[in-house]
Amino acid sequence: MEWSLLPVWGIDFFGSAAMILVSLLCVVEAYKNSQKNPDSPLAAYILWFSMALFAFSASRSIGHMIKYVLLYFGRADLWHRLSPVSGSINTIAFTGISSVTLFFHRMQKIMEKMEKDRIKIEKTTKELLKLNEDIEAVVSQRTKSELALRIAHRIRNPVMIIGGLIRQLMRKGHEDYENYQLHLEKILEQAKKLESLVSTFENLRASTQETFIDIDLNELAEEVIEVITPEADKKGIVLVFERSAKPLTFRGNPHLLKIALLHIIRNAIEACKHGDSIEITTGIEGGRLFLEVKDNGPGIPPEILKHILKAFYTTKEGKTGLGLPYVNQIIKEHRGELKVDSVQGAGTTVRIYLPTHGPELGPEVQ
Amino acid sequence: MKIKKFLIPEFVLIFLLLLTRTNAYALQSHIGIEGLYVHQGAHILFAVSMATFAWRVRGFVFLSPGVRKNLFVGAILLVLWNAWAFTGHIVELMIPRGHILYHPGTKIPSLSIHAWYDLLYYFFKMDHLWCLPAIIFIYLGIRDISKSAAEW
Repeated sequence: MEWSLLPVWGIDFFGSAAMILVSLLCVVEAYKNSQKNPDSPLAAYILWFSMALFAFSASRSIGHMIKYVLLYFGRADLWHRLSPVSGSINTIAFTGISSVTLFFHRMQKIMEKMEKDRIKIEKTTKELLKLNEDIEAVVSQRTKSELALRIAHRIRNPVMIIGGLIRQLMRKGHEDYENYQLHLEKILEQAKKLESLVSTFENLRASTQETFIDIDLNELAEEVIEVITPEADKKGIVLVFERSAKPLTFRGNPHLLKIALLHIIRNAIEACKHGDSIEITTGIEGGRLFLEVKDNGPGIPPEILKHILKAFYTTKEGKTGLGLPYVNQIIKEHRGELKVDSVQGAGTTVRIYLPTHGPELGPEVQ
Repeated sequence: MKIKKFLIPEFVLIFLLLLTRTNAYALQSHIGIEGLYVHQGAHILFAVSMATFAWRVRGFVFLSPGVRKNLFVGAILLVLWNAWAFTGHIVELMIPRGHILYHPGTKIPSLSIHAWYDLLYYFFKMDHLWCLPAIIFIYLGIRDISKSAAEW
């Protein structure tokens, strides 16, 4: 009985070609993943693993395919010379993929250690935040009490003197003109003391505003876009800035606001893929300044969107989930508002609203 | 250093032995079937590493259940493929050269089936039926890792 080896040759030849193709696709996917998560040890490991898989597939499959081509064209002699080389490369590739695969255990340990550290950092940060809140409450309570005592002490004397003098005047009337004038001068003196007290409090309020300066939202956005553009270029994403024609001045902390804007735009870049675009728009709406960051990425699922501004809520591996809540806090410190809207498959829009400083409002708004 | 007199004859003898024309055994030759042994050893190593990977990836919480399942199935199929190929190499040794027949006018040979090992050889040569699905499962796992990378 004789069986043709055609099915064996066919399966081996086309199977080899498919092996090369699929293992190459593994490398492509792993590379894309490592580009998305450049700091992830898991992404780096998967890339190494897929490259070892490709080396194994290619070393084996190319040898097999060359064998069939040479045998088909009657060059068995040439194949006998090439066979040991092909076999040796194949064996080396086996040991290569085995070594990379066995290293998975080490990677698992690294990931577990990182996760433990992340949980530890999260716990410590929560404790610090709580402690900070408690301290703030105590300091605020103490400051209020001290301030109230001080105000009462500084105001009591002039007010009592003014009250006493006016009562005396009301009893005596205008009969003693000289005494009347003297009383009025004394009342004026005490009123001056009260005025000086009011100006002291006004100066105190002004000193707390030193970290807040006049900024233009357009200029702030331009500075941030300049910093973030190389990151967008690297990923092949276009940043489009639609600048408001009007100056958008307001009082704020430029350093904190830059951090907040950088975080919002960086999130959009991470969500987008090559060829996508992010639109950044500034303007005035409803008497408030706004800055909008709109991407056409995959959007955020509704179940994640609900919690997106909550601290420590994260879907990112190895992240603490403090990003957007921190941005929200910065905006709130400026008496502003942060809004996130997203449609899955269509993209995400983040808007920050800030209270206006006044002069930039046109007559139509005022 | 002074060499003791009674050691001189021994040194002379060793020197003369070194000059004698004989086989040099210092360097081992790597010919014959040794390559197959190394290859089979590599198959065992590959199978063990894939079995370990399958066992570990099953409980790896940093990957989604779907990804874990695909990588697990892929790794197990590669273990089976290694066992398949290992056996195939042994069966290949049992086939006499005369069982592979090249008929005039045909470019693809036939296998003359005389014994059970001829049948085994025929089926064990089709090892892509194991390793290609294995690679496809691994590809699906890696693709899903890339897809599930969170955006926000």
